[in-house]
Amino acid sequence: MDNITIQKVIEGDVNAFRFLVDKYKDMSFSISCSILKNEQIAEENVQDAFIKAFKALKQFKGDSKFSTWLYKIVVNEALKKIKKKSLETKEINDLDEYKEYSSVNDSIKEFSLFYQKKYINATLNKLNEKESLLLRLYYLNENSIQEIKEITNLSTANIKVILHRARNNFHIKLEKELNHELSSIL
Amino acid sequence: MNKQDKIANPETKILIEKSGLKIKNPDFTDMLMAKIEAKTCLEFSFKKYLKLSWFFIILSALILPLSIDMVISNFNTYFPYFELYLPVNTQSLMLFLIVGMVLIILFQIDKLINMTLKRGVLN
Repeated sequence: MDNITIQKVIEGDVNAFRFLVDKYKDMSFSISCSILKNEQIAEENVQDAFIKAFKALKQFKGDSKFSTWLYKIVVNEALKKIKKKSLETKEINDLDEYKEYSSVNDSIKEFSLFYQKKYINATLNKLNEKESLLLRLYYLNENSIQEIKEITNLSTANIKVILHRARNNFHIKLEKELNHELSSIL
Repeated sequence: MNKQDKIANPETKILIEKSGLKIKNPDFTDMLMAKIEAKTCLEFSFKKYLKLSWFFIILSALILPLSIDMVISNFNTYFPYFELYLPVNTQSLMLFLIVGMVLIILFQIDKLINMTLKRGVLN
């Protein structure tokens, strides 16, 4: 379906691009938020990335999925913005131990879906951009390691290491977030 | 638990699946498409005017030397007393004019080359 739409856009049907925007804008936004940690700048980034993708659409050869190609543009644009504006990103490197996560999962089930989403996103925002990006690509968008490699330009080994660390950091941070919230309620 | 199981951790998947964010601006797609359409129109007219500019610059580069040559050869015939009112002779004046016009044409060609290489306003 994507390939038919892309062909239409290349042939001059600008409005066909709307389909691609609607399909991929939210995941692009999640990816941008992972890196930029700011919803307003992330929205601008998605807009810039789509304009760039539109311009470069003729160069898309279809070797990979359109989404992989687009998310690579989103990531590159976001990284450019970080460099330009020197946005503050928080590095967390001291939480490397592995643990079982069932306790965190049980705790979060106590909250409504709205709050679950809120705490999960707050926790992802506390991770550094690579960790949060890889978690979203792998677990939310279900990209394979190979696709993540194409999107981020990281090596396979590096992706696995970051994913492992990200998962640990995420669960530890989430547990802290929930404990803090529970203690403030009680 | 082997390494692959650790990566494809279902506990983490359940949690991260809830982290999907949505763009809050309901007009996002409309605004983006309007921007793209405006830029596409601008790009189209830009390309059209670029072609026209090349046509006129080449035309003027061809016509100008002919017209200057014609003016120089007939100047003294039509304006025999003109030199009396000027501090320089007509030949020198024409030379200044030619140099000036050649510079203007070269400057315009340089601008057009830059615009053509950038290939439009979308870049």
